[in-house]
Amino acid sequence: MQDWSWDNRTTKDLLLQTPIPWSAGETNADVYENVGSVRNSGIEINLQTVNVKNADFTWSTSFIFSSNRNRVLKLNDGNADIFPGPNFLGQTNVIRVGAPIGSFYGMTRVGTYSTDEAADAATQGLKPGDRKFIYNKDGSPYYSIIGRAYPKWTGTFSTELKYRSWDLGVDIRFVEGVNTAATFKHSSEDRQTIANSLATVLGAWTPTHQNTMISQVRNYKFAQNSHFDTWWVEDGSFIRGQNAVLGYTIPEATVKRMKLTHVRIYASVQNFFLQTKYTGYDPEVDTFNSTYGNNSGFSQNLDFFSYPRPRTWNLGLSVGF
Amino acid sequence: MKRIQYTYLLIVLIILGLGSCKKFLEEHPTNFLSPGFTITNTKEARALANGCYAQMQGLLAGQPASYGGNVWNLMEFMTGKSNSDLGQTGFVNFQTLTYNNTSFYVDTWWQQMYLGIGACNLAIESLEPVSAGVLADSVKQNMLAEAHTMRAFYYFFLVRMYGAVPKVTATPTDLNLKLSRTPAKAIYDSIIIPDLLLAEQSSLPWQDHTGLVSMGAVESILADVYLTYAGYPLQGGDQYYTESAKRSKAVIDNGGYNLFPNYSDMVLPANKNSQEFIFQVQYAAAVPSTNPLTPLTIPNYSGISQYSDEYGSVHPTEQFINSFPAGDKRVEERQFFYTSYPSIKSSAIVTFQGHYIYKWFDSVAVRNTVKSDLNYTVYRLADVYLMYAEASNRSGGGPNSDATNYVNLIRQRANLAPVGSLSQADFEHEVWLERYYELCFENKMWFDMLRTRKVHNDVTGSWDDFVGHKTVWNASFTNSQLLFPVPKQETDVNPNLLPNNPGF
Repeated sequence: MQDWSWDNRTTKDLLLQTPIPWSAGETNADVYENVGSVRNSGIEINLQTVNVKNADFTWSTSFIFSSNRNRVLKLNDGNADIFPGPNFLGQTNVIRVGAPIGSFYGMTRVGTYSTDEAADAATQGLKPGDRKFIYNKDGSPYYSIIGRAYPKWTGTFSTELKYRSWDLGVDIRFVEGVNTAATFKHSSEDRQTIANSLATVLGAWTPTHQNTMISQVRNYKFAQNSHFDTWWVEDGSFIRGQNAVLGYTIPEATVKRMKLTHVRIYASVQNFFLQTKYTGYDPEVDTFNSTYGNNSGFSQNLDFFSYPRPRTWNLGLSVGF
Repeated sequence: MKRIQYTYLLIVLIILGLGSCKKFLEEHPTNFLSPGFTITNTKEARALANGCYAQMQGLLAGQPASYGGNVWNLMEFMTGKSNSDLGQTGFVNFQTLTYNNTSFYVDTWWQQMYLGIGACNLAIESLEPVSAGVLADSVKQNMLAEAHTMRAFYYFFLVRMYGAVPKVTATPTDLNLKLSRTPAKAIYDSIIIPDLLLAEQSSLPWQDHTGLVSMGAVESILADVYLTYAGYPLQGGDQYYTESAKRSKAVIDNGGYNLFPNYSDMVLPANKNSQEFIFQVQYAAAVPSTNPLTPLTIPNYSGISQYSDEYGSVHPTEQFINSFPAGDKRVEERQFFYTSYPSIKSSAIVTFQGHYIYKWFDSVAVRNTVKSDLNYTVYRLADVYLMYAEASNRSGGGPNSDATNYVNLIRQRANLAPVGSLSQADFEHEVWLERYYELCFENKMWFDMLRTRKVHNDVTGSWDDFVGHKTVWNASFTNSQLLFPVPKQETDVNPNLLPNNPGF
């Protein structure tokens, strides 16, 4: 059985907690406003098959694939960029015409200054071993869109096997083409010797090891500026084993003798595997959600020490009287 | 049966029809004043007036995303006469003069001052229409005087720091918030000075021991405003020196204030809002609302206090300490600075690597409660003495006997010999230097440098021009240091604020 659908939706009067200037003197420096329009277009494919079906053994699979392209069409004030927050050492997200919602916005880190580049570094008041970013011709930092918080496509693969009294169900989820921003790198990598650091700091710049993205380890008293940059924004695509269930239904004859109608024992595990390139605990995070008072829909996939998802094991008994 | 049903239905409909549904559902909040309210009693009026003071603590606001960062750091880092134990305060950017519109502090100062202005505007709008039946006229005038003074106070910081700033004198009623910048002179002429002159006409008492605006505070702020207006960048003319001197003299003659006999009196919470203190930011350990400068000025990881974090955010350079005249009591141990203290764990004495600031050393908090009860002083009599000396020296063509006398009172407290009769230029230098030594680390020095465009060089001992002055960190002041950048977060939201100040 198959189901193919395509949709193309333009949403006007996008509602956003728009930041207002601090000069307005309001404690809540944002206001709900209709700020523009956005288009969502995508396809969704739903494929369900029964692969094998006979007396003892059934095997069916289901595959759902959905992709969505999101694009901001128009914004108020002559299509000026809007920064929905949160502000974490600078803007992290931008709403810009032509780009998708949830775009990450920051500087571009190209590495660290080598000892040969001392003069170049000095133009920014920095030294060899400091982080090297791209700058504009006038010396100001170059900001651009450096990632996306909403995936290009997602999919679910489910399968169900039944063999006599046994049943096994497996759900696997795919998310591809998304970034997760490891903002915890500010505290655990950019800033050293004041608290624990990540092991990556062992590969930091030294005069004998200059080809690295990690700046020189210095006493925290000399802490350098840390910025939301391309090094923090990582590939957040993943494949996750959402759920696996194994069950055994006691045969009818035995059940009847127990004066019951139905008995099933099952064991399941959730989040049984996670395959991702993301270096944090889990790429599916939302640290800066609405509890931070921000436009949480626009600040997804920012990870600041979010608690990782657990693997949960369940053992169950289902009895019918 | 049917008839009874219909009768019941009719009765229910009548009952429903009698009560207006809408009114039944209307609820009036009893725990806050909703927009569009009118003041109906003294308590509400007082609450609005009190709201003007909330942002005074903004003068010591913490800086988000920094460790040991406090907006107070900014004006001290800029002078080139301070150092920091912590990189997280962003010190290096100010040490090398490479700060920009995304640097620490420039955003929080802007935000805090406008929050204060917003509260004052609301108070003024709400108090003005109140009738005499609700609030006696003199009470109302005094409350308005407080609100106007506070508004002028917040704007005074904004114009000195950023120059031209948006003029906001009413609570916004629509979303036309992207205001452009009004030149500093217009802000002074249309808000700061008229607000303070209005407050001058009120019957506020000369002293207030609870921390509210007093006439002493009004006149001190006005003296400072006029003195600044006479200097750079407005250079309003000598009449402003005269006006400034007049206000300082009024405070000195009528305020009933006296210098504390000892510097150590200033770190006793019992002396809050009294004697030499004219206007302070209020803190109270009992609330608790505690002074953040106490832990911030304890040397980093020194182990002399019960505080879990000892920051050492700001401390003087040794060159600044050595520039004090020989025998000056202010650099002796535990006056304005200290160099050692007993450890909190043992009886061993911890000796620091240099001098640290003692001005907010609440010993009870440091050794026991970790709740600092000290206020943060914005104006004190010593400041007013020196403002009078500087202004009268300029307006009178030279120091008069009062001016010399006041300077000598301050020198006497510092165990320094009195000055005799000096030329106008020499006396001015003496007053400027006395302001450096007496009011150091009270967020005054940077503003003195801006309005005089002179900097005392601790190494050579001479008065350098502001532009071109080289700090002990080998950074040179340029025109870019005359104003702070308007914060990027604000210009991103309101592009009408651009172009930014020169150099940013």
